[in-house]
Amino acid sequence: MVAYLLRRSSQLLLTLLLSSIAVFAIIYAVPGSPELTIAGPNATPEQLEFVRERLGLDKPVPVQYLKWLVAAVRGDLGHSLASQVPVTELLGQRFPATVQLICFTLIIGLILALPVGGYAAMRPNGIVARAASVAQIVLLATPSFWLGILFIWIFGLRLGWFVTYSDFVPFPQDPLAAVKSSALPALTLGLFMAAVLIRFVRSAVSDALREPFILAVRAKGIPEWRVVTRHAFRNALLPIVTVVGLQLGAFVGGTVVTESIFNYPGLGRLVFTSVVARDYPVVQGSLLLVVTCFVVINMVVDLLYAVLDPRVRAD
Amino acid sequence: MNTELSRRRLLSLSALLGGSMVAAPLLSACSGPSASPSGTASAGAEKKNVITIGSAVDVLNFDPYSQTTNAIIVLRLLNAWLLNYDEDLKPQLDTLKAYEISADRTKCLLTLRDDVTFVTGKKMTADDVVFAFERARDPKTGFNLASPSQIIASVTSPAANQVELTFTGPTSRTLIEDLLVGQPVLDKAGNTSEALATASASAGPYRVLDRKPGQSLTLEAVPNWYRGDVATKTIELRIFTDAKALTSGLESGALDLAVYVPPRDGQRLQSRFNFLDSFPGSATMLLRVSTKTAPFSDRTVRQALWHAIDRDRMVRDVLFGFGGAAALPWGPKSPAQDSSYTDRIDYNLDKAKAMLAGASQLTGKAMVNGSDPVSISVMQIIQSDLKKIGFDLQIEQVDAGAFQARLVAGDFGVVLGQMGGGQLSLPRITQNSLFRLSNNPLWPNGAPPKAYVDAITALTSDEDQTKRQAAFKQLNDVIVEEAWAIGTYFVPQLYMYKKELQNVKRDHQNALVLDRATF
Repeated sequence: MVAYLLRRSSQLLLTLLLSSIAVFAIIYAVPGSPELTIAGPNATPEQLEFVRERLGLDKPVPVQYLKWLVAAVRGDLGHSLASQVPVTELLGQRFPATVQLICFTLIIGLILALPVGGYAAMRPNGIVARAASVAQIVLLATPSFWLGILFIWIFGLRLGWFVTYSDFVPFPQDPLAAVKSSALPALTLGLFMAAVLIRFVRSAVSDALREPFILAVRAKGIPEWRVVTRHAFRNALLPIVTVVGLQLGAFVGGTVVTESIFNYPGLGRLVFTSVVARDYPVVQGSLLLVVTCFVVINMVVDLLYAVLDPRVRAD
Repeated sequence: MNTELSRRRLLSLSALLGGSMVAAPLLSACSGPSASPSGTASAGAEKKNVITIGSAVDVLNFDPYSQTTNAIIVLRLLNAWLLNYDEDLKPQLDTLKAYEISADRTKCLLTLRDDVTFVTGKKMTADDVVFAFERARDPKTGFNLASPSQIIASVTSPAANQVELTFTGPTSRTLIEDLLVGQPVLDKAGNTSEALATASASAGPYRVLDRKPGQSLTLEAVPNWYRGDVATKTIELRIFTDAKALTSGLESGALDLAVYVPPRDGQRLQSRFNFLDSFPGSATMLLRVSTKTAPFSDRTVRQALWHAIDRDRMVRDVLFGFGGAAALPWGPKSPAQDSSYTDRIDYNLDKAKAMLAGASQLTGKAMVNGSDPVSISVMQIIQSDLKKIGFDLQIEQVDAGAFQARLVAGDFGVVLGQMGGGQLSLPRITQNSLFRLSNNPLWPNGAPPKAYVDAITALTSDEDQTKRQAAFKQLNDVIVEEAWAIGTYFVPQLYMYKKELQNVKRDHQNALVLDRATF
């Protein structure tokens, strides 16, 4: 296990290094520069040069990257070029918000997908299975931003149940306010996640129910609900965990549209605004965090395989 | 096998889990929609002392010298100035007790108030004002104030509470007053672009309490403010990435005031909310035409564009009646406005077509900011009209970052660009890169026409009304003839706010003024 963790950690470092080089190269290749945001569109060439020097942007790009890398290794991700706030502080404000949103999304997605997918696997020709298929297709075909706007209109403007923009209220600080402020974006993302998961849950549970050991379990006289929940589901969990892991990785930093619709202060919105403003240190820091999260999530999924499947443990 | 029992239990379990998921938000919704960041509905008494503002533009720094769109929202909330303008553009004293312009208009003596305290805790002194002017004069660090401050030859302090400006030559009174109105006063120790990136150093009615870049900015009223107690104690500025989310926030009642509401939403909401449109002439949208890029290097092609701009349609269909048509760049009350030019620059596609008859090239490129739907729609109207007369204008949408870079470099054929200061004395327009006297990105070698430079120079110094009228005419003639800055419309910068919110004002630059605003 230790050897495995060390191996994966070294892979993470290599991935981070290569990602940082790629992001630096790409963001600098894009036209536009941050000094214009600070000095304004009427700035003279002199003023722009002054701002460039102040921000250290007059140095060659490789020199800027090396300087950033040396500082990043020490934990200093630099300062936002636009606001001059430390990047770590900005990430510290946004990352917990994203994590909380993802947790709520995961809860909603799993609560919907597991029982519906499981039941659809048990009764593939039943009403629930057919309704789930239709709902799944509709949800997958519907753009998430449209769904979000619909929820804002219904629950925010018409019914007045929720504020139309979402805030980050830490769950430990005020659980009810945290749920209320994140309900609509979490529901928007959770429905999408459920739509993706239902198919995999149904397929995995169906496959498991066809295994010979299920016949043996049923022959012992175990109730059907226990056959499904304690035996079939356990064997179906591996592909489900894989898909959940991929979904979670995508949600970290990939929810910019939903966050913009609801004005949720998450990592996705930070990445988007910093790319538009050409705020290089923030882009670098944010994307490194996203990559780290993605790799860590995949590492956790791999570890979960060992927990869920004794055969993997033996290997 | 007892399937009925397992199905019932499975359905019961699902119903229990699904019901709890639905019940949680419903229960929380029973407490009603929240209007404050904590997620709880504010008590009536507390609410009255807080104004929640939504803005689709973030406040990136607190530097009043840069005066970018990003900073202008809080310009008046955080800063103090030497003079202010009222609605009729008459100067009113702010941090000055008095000012006196010499008879030959080469000097101006400022007498400062002695009760102005900066948010840093330090009292304002002549030293701070001298430094403020010196920074403005520095071409590198003066940013937006550098160009208008070039008329200052020196700044001295003849007495403890006095500052004397000496100009490079006789200077028109209106230009001097514009200079004083545009000059902020800050604590000398904090008056650098680096320091002002994260902290304010002025003496405005509010000071920064909390800031989360990209999310929110909380301001609290300054106690014992030199112009009297501020009516509302706290302002919460919430930053939105999406204009629709901003408008929804206003509609739902969570926001008290929304900044720069899109015209389409403004039309829909104007019966339910109060609104302020832009100060007349403060923001004019001009079609910038690069004289360096074919076919617009041909003056006749540029002149034809005057007659291909359907301003009334733009105001009607894109601005929904807000703003107004603007042919010349000046504000409606500007002395340079001249209705006799109407026929020379009216919308007339037949005239435009006749002028294009001799053009060697009938295709050109237009650049638009992809995140500005209004500009896209306006440019499409121009494209459509030009197509009717055989000119193919290709529209290139670029993202905001690339747009700014190319705008500054003059790397475009035509582009829509906003100009401020049209309501002020004319030489102030040289702040804008479009009307800069040197380093002008629209002209080869950065040099605009001599007739334009001469007219601006004359208006800088002359007070003789006959000579000024002649200079206005010369200025308008050269702008019409050379056609590098073609007026389209006055930009509506809409502030929409709840009807119960009183005394919401904006100044001549469209910066919010809220020191007397209250519920």
